[in-house]
Amino acid sequence: MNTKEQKKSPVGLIVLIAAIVVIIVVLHFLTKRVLLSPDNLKILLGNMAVPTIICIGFTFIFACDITDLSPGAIVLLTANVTGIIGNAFHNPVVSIILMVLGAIVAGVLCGLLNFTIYRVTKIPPWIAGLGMTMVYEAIVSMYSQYRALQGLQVEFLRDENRVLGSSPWIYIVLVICVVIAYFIYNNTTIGINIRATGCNQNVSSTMGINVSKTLIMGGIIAGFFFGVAGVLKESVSIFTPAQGGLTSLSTVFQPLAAVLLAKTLSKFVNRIIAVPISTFIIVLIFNVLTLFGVPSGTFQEFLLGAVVIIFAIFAQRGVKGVVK
Amino acid sequence: MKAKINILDIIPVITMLVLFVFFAIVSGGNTVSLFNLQNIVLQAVPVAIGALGVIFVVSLGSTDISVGANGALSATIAALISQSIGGWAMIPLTLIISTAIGFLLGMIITRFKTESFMTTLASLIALRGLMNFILTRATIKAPRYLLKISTFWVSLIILVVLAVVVFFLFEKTKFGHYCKGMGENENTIKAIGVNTRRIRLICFCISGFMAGVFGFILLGKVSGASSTLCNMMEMKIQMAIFLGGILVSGGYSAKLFKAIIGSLTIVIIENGLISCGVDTAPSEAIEGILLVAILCITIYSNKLSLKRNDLELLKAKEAGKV
Amino acid sequence: MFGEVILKCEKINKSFGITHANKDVSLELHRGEVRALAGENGCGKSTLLSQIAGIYGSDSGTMYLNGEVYQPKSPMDAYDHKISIIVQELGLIADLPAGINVFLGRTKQFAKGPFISQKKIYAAANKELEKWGLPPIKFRRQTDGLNIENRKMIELVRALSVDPDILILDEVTQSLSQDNREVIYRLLDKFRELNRSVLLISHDLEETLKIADTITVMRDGEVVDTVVTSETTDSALKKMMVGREMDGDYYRADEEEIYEDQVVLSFNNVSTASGLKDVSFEVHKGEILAFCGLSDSGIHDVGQAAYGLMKPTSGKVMFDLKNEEIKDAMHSLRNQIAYVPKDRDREALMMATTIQNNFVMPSMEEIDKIFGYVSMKQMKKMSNDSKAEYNVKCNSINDTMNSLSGGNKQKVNLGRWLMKDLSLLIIDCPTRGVDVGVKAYIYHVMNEAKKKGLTMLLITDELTEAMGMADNIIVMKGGEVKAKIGRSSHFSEEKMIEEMI
Repeated sequence: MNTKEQKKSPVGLIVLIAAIVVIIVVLHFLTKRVLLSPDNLKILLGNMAVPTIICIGFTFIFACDITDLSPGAIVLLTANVTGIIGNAFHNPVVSIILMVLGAIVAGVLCGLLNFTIYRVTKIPPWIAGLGMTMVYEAIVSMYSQYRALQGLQVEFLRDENRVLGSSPWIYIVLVICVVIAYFIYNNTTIGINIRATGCNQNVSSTMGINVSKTLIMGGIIAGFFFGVAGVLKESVSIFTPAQGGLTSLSTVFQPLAAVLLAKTLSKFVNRIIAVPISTFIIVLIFNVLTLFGVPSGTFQEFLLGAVVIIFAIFAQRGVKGVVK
Repeated sequence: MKAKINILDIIPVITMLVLFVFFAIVSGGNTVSLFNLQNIVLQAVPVAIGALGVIFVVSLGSTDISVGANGALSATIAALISQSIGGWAMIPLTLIISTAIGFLLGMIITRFKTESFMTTLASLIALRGLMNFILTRATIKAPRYLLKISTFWVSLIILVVLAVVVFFLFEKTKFGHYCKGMGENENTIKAIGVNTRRIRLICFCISGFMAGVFGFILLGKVSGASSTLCNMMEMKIQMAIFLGGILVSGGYSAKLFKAIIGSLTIVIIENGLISCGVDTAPSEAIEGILLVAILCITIYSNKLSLKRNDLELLKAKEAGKV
Repeated sequence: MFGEVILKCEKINKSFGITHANKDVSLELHRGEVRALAGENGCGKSTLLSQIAGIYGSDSGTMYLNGEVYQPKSPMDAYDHKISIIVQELGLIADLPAGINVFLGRTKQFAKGPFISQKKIYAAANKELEKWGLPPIKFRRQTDGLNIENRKMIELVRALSVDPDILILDEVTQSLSQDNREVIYRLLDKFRELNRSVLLISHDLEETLKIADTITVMRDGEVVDTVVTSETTDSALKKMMVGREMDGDYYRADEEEIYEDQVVLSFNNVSTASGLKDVSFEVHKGEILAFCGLSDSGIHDVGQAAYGLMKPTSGKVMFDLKNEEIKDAMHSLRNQIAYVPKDRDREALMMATTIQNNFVMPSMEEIDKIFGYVSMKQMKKMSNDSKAEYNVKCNSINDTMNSLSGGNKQKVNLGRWLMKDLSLLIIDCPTRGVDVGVKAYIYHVMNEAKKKGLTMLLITDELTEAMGMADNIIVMKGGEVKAKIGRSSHFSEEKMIEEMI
């Protein structure tokens, strides 16, 4: 008996933006005018790129109504693929092109594999995703052990190949990714079908959508963005050390918090536009924490977990029925 | 009418025995030495204790992967506090803190309807972060007597006592039936009039309590807290439960003995891989693949047995029995 | 008077597990004809329409479209043959804009290269509105923000967008206001003009008589007869629909209100967030009080509120036997109240576990001993006894619930409550989806229980059921009580439908 008619209200958005701006300005002064200083802003925007792109990938996974936290390990893998391919060639242009392609192929293959497993085996994705996380982590670990046996260190991406990780390229890549994601999400058949399938599989299939194909395509699209994220990650941080014991899960917590926040914000703006906004907010929060001297890695991790839970609570507001 | 032995109940036992024999052969008999057998049991005890708690949550169809971090954090805080007020307080404090964390998680999950997986995963990171934060500020030593509690016989006795209590609660009471019923169909239990929120909350509390128990046992083993305390326990416990043949969706497939068999199985696998000289990285890969494969087999064999029942019914119908 | 035959069904059969939904159904539809299917719930009319529209396949039999064999594999396949359906349940994607729902699954036609233009989709949707003379719809809105009536209209646009030769409407008018009903009536005229055909089902016999050219009556999965509307009457149709079952002791035989004075449960000006407005009533010991109305009239909410599953925002639900307010469902359970939800498979029963577990679950609070201990032996005995008493057909109580037929599932669903010593039974659509035999059995059980003095709240969307069983009927609409009618005043269907709509 819901007779209310809702509409995306611009007023709500304006109030929201105003509130955020006010808070930022207040924080700017609280942090002794460091927060909005050009240097810090550069750090902020630079820190934003990788989480935003991972968050875009997450958005497509969540649009399929799937909870899968293996992207941390996928990005770990694609970052290492970037390093390996990037160092294998001498010409910087060739190596950059090939490493981007290689990382994207790796990401797409992981996405394809994950979603095929979910579809074929019917194992709940969250738990199967944990299994896949272990596998991807182990692949990277085994490679670095193999290097260690040869007396080598982890792959360090050569400086001339790290162009994509520096200004202005990193911003260009970021904008391109957001634009591509926007069009896929809103203006392609596959994007619309993914959203339909994630919302209601039965209705979608009676409307003539091939559910399996659509979901697997969703995995592939997400994988594409994880590939790009891997390239940027490797380019920014030179090397990506192997991780074991599911520690890669924590690397996707910022994007995860952002995707949950974006879900809440999508009441006001398009979901994809909400992604960079939410990532910015999340990155800002942790930037402020660092500026306040909260130790990173320990207490910030604690707050990160808390932030995820808080945004999950917001994102779940008004949900009816059984949630396990 | 005697209840038939269900094939689904035997599969986990067979899996365990097959793996045990497999590793015994591959390792050239190394794994069957008395010392190693004792070692397997010693390692399986904390996993089994954790599984005793998590089984309640899994039977609902929910999940709790915060238990490792919960156990580690509550044991660490309790040890820290008891350094000033006396070692006796260590165990009760651990249990109080861990149960309180379980309660808090349960409250968040039931009040705000957040997914239990996401919530407990986030709290896993949060609790670990908090523990590492504490460890950077203080050195934590466990009270002496904990060392005795972590020995083979004492920890085994703790497990047996807890297992008896949990067996009664989980298999023989209305609470256990409601838990499993919620896994089968939560709407049913809700429509009957049971407060499903409260049941879920209690389950998370039990899960937290058991996390505290293995928390102090493991702390006693290493005698001082470090960032690796209870590392990967949550995954081991999850795998133990699924290796035991309990469905992820919960319900009446959840049985206590399966969780204990599963705990032994996961330890046998880990122990066997080490005995055979497999590195940690490939072990992780093997465990990951194993997890997916086992879940697949469990789901598939449950479906198969359902079909078999239907087939029997059809045959009976043809014979004019129905 | 009509054109040539466009669709011909020959001896169509369809079973769902043990239920035989359609038995040798044959039907001929002509061009320019508006055909209605009539029959009681569960007579197979919706199934037949779903088969024609490609939602279900057929077990045997052939369909011919324009003389050629027609075997739709999916609704999309049916679309390609210019047959489209609007189903009873809402079939829209809530998270997408309304306009996209119109063309979902067929969005490729708007593609330019890899991209599709949402603008073009909205324009095309508006063009359909214009073409068929429908009122405007805000296509850019998110679908879940629109009300049921608008959503129904979106489904209509979706169905019309394939330019159908045969349009199938399954209970479309039920959730529409008078204005939109007129729109549908005009649309039917347009179809007649264009020499196209319509197949429809309507709950409302009077409406059916008004809008259809011909009516096919079905009963228990079989076609009884096809009649021309102008040559038949309301009562003649009803007789055909119900068949001989109406007389005999299918329902209650008496015509009196029989119950004691003691009030068991009462609503005092209860309003809820879900839309109940100021509902008050009393149910007396031994009374069967029925609630009738359309599915969104709030009748189902009354059941939930009475059991304490739904908290009133104002007013009180009183359990007058003990003079206590019902605060939560556990309170009701302990006071021996029972609630049987309408969606048996999804809300009431646990399908993947044993029959025994299903039987004993509501009795846990009675059989538990110290520390909540429940005895396996006792549970087994209880289940076996009830299985025998309620005549559940199964090999053993250790079989899974899934292996039972719909009727036997319903027997477990009722039996698990009736085996207790109940003070009140709240029962929501007890005969939905069961065949006539089981239906009769359920009425028999209810009658027996009534004779023993059991009080019942019967919530139902079948008028005949309420009239057959109840002492008093409360008719609801839009969350409000519209009328209360006693058994001795001889229920009149017309009067109740008037109040319902």
